Amino acid sequence: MDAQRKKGILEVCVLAVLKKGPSYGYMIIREMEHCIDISESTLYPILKRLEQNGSLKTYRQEYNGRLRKYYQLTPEGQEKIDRFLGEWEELRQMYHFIEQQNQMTQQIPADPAEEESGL
Amino acid sequence: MKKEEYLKKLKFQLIDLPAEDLSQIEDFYEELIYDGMDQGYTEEEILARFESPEEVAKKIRAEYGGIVVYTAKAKSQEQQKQGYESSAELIHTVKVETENLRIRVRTVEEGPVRVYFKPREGQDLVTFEEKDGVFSFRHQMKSSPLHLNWLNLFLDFNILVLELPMNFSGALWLKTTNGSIKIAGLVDLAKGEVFSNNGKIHIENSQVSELQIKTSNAKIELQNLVGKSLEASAGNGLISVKESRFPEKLSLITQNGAVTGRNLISDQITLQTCNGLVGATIIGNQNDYNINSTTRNGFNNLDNVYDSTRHKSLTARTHNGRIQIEFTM
Repeated sequence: MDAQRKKGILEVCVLAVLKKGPSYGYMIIREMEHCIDISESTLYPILKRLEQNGSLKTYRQEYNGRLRKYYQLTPEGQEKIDRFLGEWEELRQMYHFIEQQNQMTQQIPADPAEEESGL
Repeated sequence: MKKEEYLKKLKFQLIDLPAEDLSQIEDFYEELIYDGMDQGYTEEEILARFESPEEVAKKIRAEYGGIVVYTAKAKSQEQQKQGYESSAELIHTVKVETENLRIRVRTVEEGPVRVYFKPREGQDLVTFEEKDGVFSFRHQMKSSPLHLNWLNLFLDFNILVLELPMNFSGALWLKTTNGSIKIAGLVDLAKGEVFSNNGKIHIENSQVSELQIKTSNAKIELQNLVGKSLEASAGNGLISVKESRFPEKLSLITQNGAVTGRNLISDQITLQTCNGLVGATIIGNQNDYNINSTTRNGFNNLDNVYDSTRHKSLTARTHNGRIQIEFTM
């Protein structure tokens, strides 16, 4: 898949993981394994970008004697998910069209000159 | 490998990133390790699943869009107090020379001297050196046919950002050909020399004791500056200075363009052009100044005067334009 497109989709995947509630780095990677294997070094910049553009917000909460960083979906982030799903419908239609067209056998158009001379 | 070693290696790979980013990345990885241990894995098992520090650094750097950050290793005054382990040298001079780049200079509250620049493959050549307290960054375009150069210029104007800590009080030397320079927020510069061959120079909200500015073919715009002496010369462009104070010397000279000043304060003022108006408001008492004003072709509102008891001087000259200078006091 195109690298840029993949990056964009991964971002929405991460947001979708947060839909059922705030989560933390380790858990997000484990959750995403259902969909795609993502490395820590790929996740970090995604989380950072999503925070910078307001799609998620972060806070810290005590756990086991340390302050764990949690990531939480924002309304803007939800909008991003909705937009992706909406685009998918359009994409699905186009995919279907391309798939159908691709299955047609080639039809060579008749040559008018040949027809006239009765060949 | 133990986690301390991994984190240390990771930090070392990304040492030139902004300190805040670096500590965030370290925290992120440290948490992953703790969480893994809480799940019952050993340190070794967890670290084995991680990519190598080099791999991680490469991926994270790619996120910065290929922007490379050149950071001074020498400490600034603030950092020395915090006891970093680099050498005790202080950066006292920053030299940045570029070809066809725009330069932006900004200040940060604290931190080392930094240059942010995104080299284009096959086009940009950078040499960076830090020696004897001099931070020296030189950029050149790799040689290519002349017409190709101009096309690239048009399509893709690259920018270089120089970041100085607020307490930087040394000398700054900047030069670019074919690119504008914009500087803001310098708090305590001892000396500034700014040259652009073919690009506008804009400096604002800064304190520079001795400031020298030169451009051959573009305008100079200065605003809200304070220092001891200012010399600005444009070959072919207007010079506009607002709300600025340079008591020892304030000299604005151009060949072809207007020279205008608003609320200037200085004891020795020179406003000169060949082809354009000379207009200014000076905060001061006209009677304190010896005035030498000439224009060949235009109205002049000043009366020339020389009196040895006067210690301030104003020189206003143009060939082809009027002179209109008011003293407000």
